[in-house]
Amino acid sequence: MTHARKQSIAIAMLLALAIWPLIHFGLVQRFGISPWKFGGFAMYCTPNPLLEITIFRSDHQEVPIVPQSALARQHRQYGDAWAIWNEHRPPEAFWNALREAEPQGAPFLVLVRERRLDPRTARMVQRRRRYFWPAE
Amino acid sequence: MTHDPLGANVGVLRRVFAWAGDPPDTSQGSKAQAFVVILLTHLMARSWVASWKADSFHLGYALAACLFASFGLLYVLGKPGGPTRRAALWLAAALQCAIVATTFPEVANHRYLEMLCILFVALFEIDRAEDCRSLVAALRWTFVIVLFHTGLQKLLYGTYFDGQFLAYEIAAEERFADFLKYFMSSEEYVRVRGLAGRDPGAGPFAVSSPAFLVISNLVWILELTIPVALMWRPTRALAAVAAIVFTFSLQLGARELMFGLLCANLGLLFFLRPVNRFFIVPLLVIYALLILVAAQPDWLPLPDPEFN
Repeated sequence: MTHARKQSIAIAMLLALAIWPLIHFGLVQRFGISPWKFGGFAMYCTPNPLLEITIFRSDHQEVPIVPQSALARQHRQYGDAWAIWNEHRPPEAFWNALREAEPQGAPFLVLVRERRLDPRTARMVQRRRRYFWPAE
Repeated sequence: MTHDPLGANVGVLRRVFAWAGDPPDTSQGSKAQAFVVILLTHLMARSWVASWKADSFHLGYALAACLFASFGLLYVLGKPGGPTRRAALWLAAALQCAIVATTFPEVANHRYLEMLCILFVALFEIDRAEDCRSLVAALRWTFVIVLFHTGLQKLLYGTYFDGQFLAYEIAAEERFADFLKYFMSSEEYVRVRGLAGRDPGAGPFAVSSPAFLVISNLVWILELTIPVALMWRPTRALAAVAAIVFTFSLQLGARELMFGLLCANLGLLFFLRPVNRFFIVPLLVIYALLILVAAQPDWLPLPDPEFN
């Protein structure tokens, strides 16, 4: 490979490095993806959201999350995925683990409470999302 | 006529790229070699530390650490300009790309930076003078672009003007409180620490202490201005010192020592002389200590490895 070609490749990579964080900023604003990931170099710009994911069964009782169970693993992975990709319905694997843990508990409600720092007011703001199984 | 891959804008882009370079009569070889040795050590140490994180041992990262160590040995033992060294670098680059790909999207941003560095190192042949100059320029541009973007993002997110982000971190994390409490009044510190619960409506996570506001805004101002100073040759050396001290201090405060070391390795490239050669041994000692701390052997009393 000639030196000119290598330099061209390097310049192209550096251009991508220079432009991508601006695109990432737009994606964060539009879709709420994590500022801490995806190579946007927006770490330490805004705190990660605080999440509480609570599961209720048909009798309105909270489903306990047994440590190191399959449900606990899915619960943790769902929280991690939410922090990266923003709000979304729990995946099938989550519902499967839940049905396995609570075979008589359907229908289920998953309540996600998310707290974020609002930079304009410098206060914590909360939003809630509800997900049902079977889906409504 | 030779076809230039960059087309019509080639002149402008190559001239801008060359801003980060040194005069053509300066030798870059030993500077680049030192960077490569430190980078390969960094990649190995990073993977080793990652294998011991959290509450379990991660075999994948331990294997990656062993592989990086092997590639490093291959590089050191290989003949300058020979195929062994080239192979070692490309293998290291491939492994780093694999780590990033398999851990996406959870992968930390530092890993992308490491990946770029090793890709540049593999792309250019250090033993050829013009390749070496381009390598140093590419690595300098990488540092400048990343540092500039960290400052720009802080400006765009608006969480540093009233110290909101740092105040939040004081409430949330001991490591920030330990470092920042000296820049605010004791009353304000107690108030902010009292917001640790971070309940809905809690706040304000803003600080009025002047020293704290200066520190908070100085962070993004320096992240925007140091890169500019690094690009201008008359201020480059001083800016390099500022960059290394600034980024290393920040990462030390955030207990992200690994990233601080990577920044130091990149920052040392900005000096005209191969100053980084004198830091090889001290940096290797630090990496060795970090590897030991991560493993936490019973026979050696060491502090908890609360670092990244």
